[in-house]
Formats: sequence, structure tokens, C-alpha cells
Amino acid sequence: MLGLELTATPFIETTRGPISFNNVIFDYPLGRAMADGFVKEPAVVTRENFSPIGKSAEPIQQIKLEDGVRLDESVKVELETYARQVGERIVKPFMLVIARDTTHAAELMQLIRSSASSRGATPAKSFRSIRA
Amino acid sequence: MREEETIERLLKVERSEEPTEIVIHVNMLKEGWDVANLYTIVPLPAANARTLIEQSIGRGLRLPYGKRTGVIAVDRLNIVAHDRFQEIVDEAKRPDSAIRLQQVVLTADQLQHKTVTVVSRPQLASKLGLQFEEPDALSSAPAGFQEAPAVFNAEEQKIAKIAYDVIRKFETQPNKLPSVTYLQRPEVQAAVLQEVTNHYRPAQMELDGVTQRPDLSAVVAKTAEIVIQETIDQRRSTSPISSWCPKER
Repeated sequence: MLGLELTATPFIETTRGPISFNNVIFDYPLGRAMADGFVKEPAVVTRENFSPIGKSAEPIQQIKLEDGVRLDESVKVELETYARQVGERIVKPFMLVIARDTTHAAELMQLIRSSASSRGATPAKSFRSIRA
Repeated sequence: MREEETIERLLKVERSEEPTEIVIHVNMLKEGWDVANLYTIVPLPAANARTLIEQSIGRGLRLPYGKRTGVIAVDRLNIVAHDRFQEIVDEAKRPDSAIRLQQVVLTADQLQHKTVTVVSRPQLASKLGLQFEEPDALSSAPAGFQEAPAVFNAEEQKIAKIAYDVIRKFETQPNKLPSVTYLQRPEVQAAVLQEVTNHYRPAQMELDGVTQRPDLSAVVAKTAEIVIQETIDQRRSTSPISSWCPKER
């Protein structure tokens, strides 16, 4: 009897930290998958001449959200253009905003909704908050 | 919104008919939720750089087409982190980090420009009513341009399509059609009509005498005229691109 297991987490969580499996026969780490082109290329994004110095949390959050929306809008266009050029299905992208807690999440939803309506954004857009 | 509905929509976020474009979540979603159409992550809590990288990439690295496309934006996951940028870059550069991170610095120019997808097809195709293959029936209408109206009704379009295919076939045989201008000649049009008559099968309704049988020779003549007109237009055009852009009305 031969048992094979595929896992993304080849370790057991213990109180003293993770203990790796000792019977691994093949290891293919994420870094290699990235280099081999099997997953997306992660990129960290900022704005030209951005300095957090002297800025409080609120305006920084605002800038990050605005640039996130802009990026996602441009990705949406790139995805549609690509799909039409090669005759593939159109993929609709979405943006994930990570909040500190549920209060913060509710505030963010309010903020995004109000700025969307002030810009006259599409009503098709919708937002939601999930309780952790 | 009820929680079940929220979860329902969250599970469907990958589908193109689900309109959700922004998902707000408390902390990082843990295992079991990995969606290929996640392209932008905006982490707001003050987690340490390493946790931030690990959790972000664990969520949105799957490729929607299962492979890289060669189009940078389609192959990239954006982690928006203005305030933590250098810290994250430095963390990813550590020798024990398995992950390489690209860096994107948005310029004022990029921030101002808004792009749209514009779909264009030749005037010829839209006038003849030739079928244009949509990759996704649910997709939004292409923005920006008005196409030339089709000149034929539905049944006539079927005939025009056959006539167009016959003309294309003739174009590959110089003894039949040395150049498109020869389409004006009665004997060439007669040859096209002969082929069209051989290939055209009217819809059942016409056989039952419900509607009139369309005038094949008139449709062939009109198709020939459009092909000549649009071909000459294309040759006159100095830019190869402009000839393929629908004219604005």
C-alpha cells in the first residue's frame, strides 16, 4: 500500500513552532514555481515621490485605496483587451482590501461607497464586508 | 446584506457575471479561498513585512488562464503598499526569502490616464453583417465607436456571407479574379452568383412560401459593390491601422 500526499504546508504546527515532515520525497517550493512561470508575478506598488513622513494614517489609506482602484481598473482593461485579442473568455478582476477589524471594514465600505458615488462610478460595482 | 448572501457572492467572485469588484476583509483570508481573478491587494493593517508578503501572495498567485500570457498586467499580482514599500522590497531581497518581488512605481502620468478597450472590425465585415466572434457573451459592449450599419436583413446576410466567401476564393485564382475591380464585370458577377446559388440553402420558412425568396443576384451585386468599395478605401488609406478602425458616424 502506497500513500501519496500533496500539500502546501509540509509541517505540523506545534506550540514550539512548525515541525517539518520527515518523509518528503519531492519538494517544489513556491519560489521555484514563480521562477518557472506557473503563478503570477507578485509586485509591490507605490506612487512616485511618495513619502509617508508627516502623513497620518487616514490620507495614506486614502491614497492606497485610490491607487488600488486605478490599478484594478487598468488591469480590467488589459484583461479584456487580452481576451479579445486571443479569443479567450474575459476575466473580471477584483481588488481585496484588508481591514484591521470589523469596525474598520465598515468604515472602509462607507468610504469606498461615498467616494464611488461622488465620482459617479458605475452602480454595477458592489462592496461587502466579511466578518472574520 | 445577509451573511449567507455575502458568502454566496464571495464564492462566486471568480465568475464574470458576479459584479463584485472590491472585497473588504478583516485580516487575511486563511486557506481554502484562492481565486484566480484577484489582481490587486490593498493591505491596511500594520503587519510585519514578512507576514504581509506571505499572506498576500498566498491568496492571489493563481493564473486565470492556468499559464502566463506574456502580458505583464495580466500576469501580475499588485500589492499596494505605499507606506511599506521599501520595507517589503528589503524583506523580499533577504537571502532566506524564497520570493522575488517586482516593483511598480506609479507615475503622475499613469495616475491620470484612463484606458478603455476598443474593439474594431473592418467596415467590410460590419456592412456585410459577417459574424464577429465574441470571446464572452456576457462581456460589456465595446466602448467608443459606432460601427457601420449592416445593409442586409438576416436572410440576405447569409447570402452575403456565402458571396463574400466565394469572392475570397476567387481572389486566390487570378484567372477568375485578377483584381477586385473585375467584380464589376457582369460575367464575373454571374460566376459568383452561380456559386452562391449552388451553396445557398434557404431556411425552411422560405420553402413553405411564408416569406419571399430573397433576390440572390441583387445581394451578390451589392456584396460585390461593398467589397470593391471597402478594398479601394483600404488601399487609399495611408495608415494600415486607420483602415481597420470603424469610421465614426
